[in-house]
Amino acid sequence: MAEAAASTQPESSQVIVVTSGKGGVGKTTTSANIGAALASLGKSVVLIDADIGLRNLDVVMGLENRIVYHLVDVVEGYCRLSQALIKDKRFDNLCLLPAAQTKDKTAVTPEQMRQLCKDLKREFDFVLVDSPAGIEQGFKNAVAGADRAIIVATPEVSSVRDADRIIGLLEAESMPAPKLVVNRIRPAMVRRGDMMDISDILDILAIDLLGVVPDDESIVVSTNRGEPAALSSASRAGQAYRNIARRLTGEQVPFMNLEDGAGLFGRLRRLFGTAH
Amino acid sequence: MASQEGSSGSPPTDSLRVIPTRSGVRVHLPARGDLDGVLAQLEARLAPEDALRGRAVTVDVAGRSLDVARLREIETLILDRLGASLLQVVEGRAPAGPRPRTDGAGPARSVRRQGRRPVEEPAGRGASPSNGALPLDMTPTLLVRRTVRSGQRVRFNGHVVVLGDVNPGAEIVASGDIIVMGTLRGVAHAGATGAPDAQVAALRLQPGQLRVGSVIGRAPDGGPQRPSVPEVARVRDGVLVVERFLAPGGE
Repeated sequence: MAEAAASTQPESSQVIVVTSGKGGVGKTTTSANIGAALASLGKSVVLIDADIGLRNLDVVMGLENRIVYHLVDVVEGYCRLSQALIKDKRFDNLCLLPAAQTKDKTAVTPEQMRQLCKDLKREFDFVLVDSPAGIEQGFKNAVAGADRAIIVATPEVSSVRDADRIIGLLEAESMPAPKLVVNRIRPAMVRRGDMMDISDILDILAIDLLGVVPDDESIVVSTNRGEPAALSSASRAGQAYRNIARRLTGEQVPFMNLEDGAGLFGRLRRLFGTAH
Repeated sequence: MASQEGSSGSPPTDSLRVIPTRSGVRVHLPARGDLDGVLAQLEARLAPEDALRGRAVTVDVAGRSLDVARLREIETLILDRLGASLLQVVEGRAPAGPRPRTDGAGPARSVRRQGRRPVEEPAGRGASPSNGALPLDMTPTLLVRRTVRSGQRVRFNGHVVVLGDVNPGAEIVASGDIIVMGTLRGVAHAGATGAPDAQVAALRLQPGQLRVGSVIGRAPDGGPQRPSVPEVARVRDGVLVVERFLAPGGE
């Protein structure tokens, strides 16, 4: 205990990569929301957008027009790390290191990412790396400096297949077993047997579940507005992300009951077995 | 390690020959000459075309006696450097043509013998069961103590036992049998060098595609889920048959 207190670096400080293999499953939304939720818990957090050339995280965070320097500027020594970090509008303890939009993945090497993560780890409790889709250079860069990984998958066969591939690749990096976030689940469809349920996914991937995020229209709205849903108490997806953040800090949080949202109408529909 | 079959086939020639087969190529090494030179020649000939990538290769060593180190050298060349997916080393000329694909009993037996004996010899030495004991299968067996995930591939000249699942998108290729102590959802190819009596067994056999020898079976589209009991797939009369796994009795 005394040792942890004496250390300049918080004991819990860790670099987490958010990755999926498949594109469009919600890596960036997940990164932004977990980051915001961790910040709201009082943790110091930096989000790294590792999707060089397809910069997105800044938009989702609503920080697009504050970018001056970016990740490639930092690794090329064109600016200092602190100059490139953008402070969030809502939280002083949340920062973003944006990607370059004009470069591509080859502008950075895994070794440079490793050093960058190491530097940021000294300053922040959580370093979240938003990985690009795919398994090539961009993915390799994103995982290079990570201590652990969060895999995002949607309840689709193709997404689960790609997640499985990624887990296999991470095993080769000798990282601890990644944690799974199932995104965009629709309880009504699962109930009708039209969508893979959580146990189907866990059966194949055989890793621990970190959270389940329901499909929620409020995510589309909040993403477009640059306001992470995790900060809105009305959003069910936001609630799910807040729970994930608490689990990351080591808290035991029960999984929320997704059925509640279906309401009376949903239950009636189930009773009569109507599908549309 | 001496050839037991070399004299029964056609006389070995002195030149390196590469004969295309249905699943890859068959390489006949010259009976005489320095093996290093021969292997270099083989690599020079096949590497530029990348012709062996993913194919099955049979190397006929034409009665040369090779030690394990030499066999390893051949394995490294064919599998790692030339990228073939399967290697079979035979120690003499087969009496029949290369790789009979019929379902008849005669040629089938000979294929199996070809496929297994060479790898058996180094491993089986000194470990052979005494005469009259149990008919033990001394084929080398690879133990995979983990789940094989999408994009991962295991290939082995011998049997493969997986202590875990084989996920969709993963592939197991073995010259012998494949046993999965878990759920098989990926692709399994047993008897990949032509052994028609190879089998695939799994605690839950739910593959997208199964191959045994040259027979390919596919799960019916949108078919019912397979039962959660151990099952085994074999080729019977040229057709892939899946049945409940029962311990073979009376042997």
